[in-house]
Amino acid sequence: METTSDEQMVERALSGDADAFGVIVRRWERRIYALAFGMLGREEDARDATQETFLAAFRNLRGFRGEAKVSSWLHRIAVNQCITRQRRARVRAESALEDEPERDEASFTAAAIDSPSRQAEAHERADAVRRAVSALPVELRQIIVMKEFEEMTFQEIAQALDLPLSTVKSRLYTALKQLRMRLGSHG
Amino acid sequence: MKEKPEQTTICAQGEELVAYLYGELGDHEAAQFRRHMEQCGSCEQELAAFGRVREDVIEWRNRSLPSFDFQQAPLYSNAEAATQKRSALAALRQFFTLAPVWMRAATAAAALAICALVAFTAIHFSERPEAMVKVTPKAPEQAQPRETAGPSTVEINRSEPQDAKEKQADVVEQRPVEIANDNNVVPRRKSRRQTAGMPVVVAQQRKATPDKARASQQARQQLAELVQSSRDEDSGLPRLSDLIDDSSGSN
Repeated sequence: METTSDEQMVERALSGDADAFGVIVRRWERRIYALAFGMLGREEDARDATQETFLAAFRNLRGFRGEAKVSSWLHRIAVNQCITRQRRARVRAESALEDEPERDEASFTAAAIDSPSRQAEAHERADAVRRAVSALPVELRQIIVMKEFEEMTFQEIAQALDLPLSTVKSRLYTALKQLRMRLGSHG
Repeated sequence: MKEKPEQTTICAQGEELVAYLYGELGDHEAAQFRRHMEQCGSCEQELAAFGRVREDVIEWRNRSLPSFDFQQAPLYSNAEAATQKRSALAALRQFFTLAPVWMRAATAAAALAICALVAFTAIHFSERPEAMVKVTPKAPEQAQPRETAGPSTVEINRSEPQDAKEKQADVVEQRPVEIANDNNVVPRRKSRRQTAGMPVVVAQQRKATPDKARASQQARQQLAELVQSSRDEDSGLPRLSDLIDDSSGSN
């Protein structure tokens, strides 16, 4: 049972407890990975971004002042890492997501137990969603990913991104509208 | 009608709609929004459409995320391995990131002290070879007559054909110097005469006899040549051994 708060673990890490930061990582790695996957759309990129997030957090541990929650701090770092990675990926290719459709095809077909035609349909739909999400502007994408992949509340998202609550809601509304338009064209 | 979502924006229910969609409206606000939807078909349509979008996104999430097993391959272990690869650098970085300021200052001071100690030691040992160079010229002079073992003796033995001549020259070379310093043995007049007839360099070298140990091998060779040449010049003069014989004979 982990009763120690994230903020206390950060204090311990700052005072030289080498395991304290590991506890924080284990607590948040799944959610940060989910966020990174939703933002980037690829396992490999998501894993790298997650690792970079925790490494950056560790290096800047002294910069954590306790004004925000550790979770918000980590999310902010993760979002920045994803944005940076996506910018780099855009330099290399127009869309990294379009480079490897076969990776997701493998995972989708492995998960699917329906007929080949339904598998193909499910794959097509999932691929369309992935493209639609990745096509969203970053400020919209990060909110819908936090909401759908991490199941964060509006308040948590607002805290993590240091945005007003109404802005989070309006951005999510806009994101859903754009997704609806894009996915509607895919049938 | 397709234009009804625009009406939703106009009626400014977008925020309430997403809050209702995600179940984050209070009971009272939720009831209010349901009443609004009864009157606004576009909001109802939009809510249904957003619901389908959510389903699609969740389906994508559920199909994609389970492919990475956190329990079997925790990211922390990867990150830990990445940091362990550069253990020394990472340890230093971790130390300087996490240690208190006073500890960092103390470490820096200790590192400076160690550097200074190393530098001092290096300088100290680098001076020794110079001292040996200064001393080594003395070794052949002392070693040659006694034929003691040692590096200088070995070097001399390598050039054995010249060795005998050099030994002779050195013995002859040393003779006047030793005699010149020994007033009890050598007549003062003879000593003055020999010194006066020699070049200035030789005279200076002889005056500096106590410091002869510091003279380089080259200087000694030059000195030997000059002594030899001066001896040639003085070949018409009586030899020192003759004078000694004469003096002993007279006594």
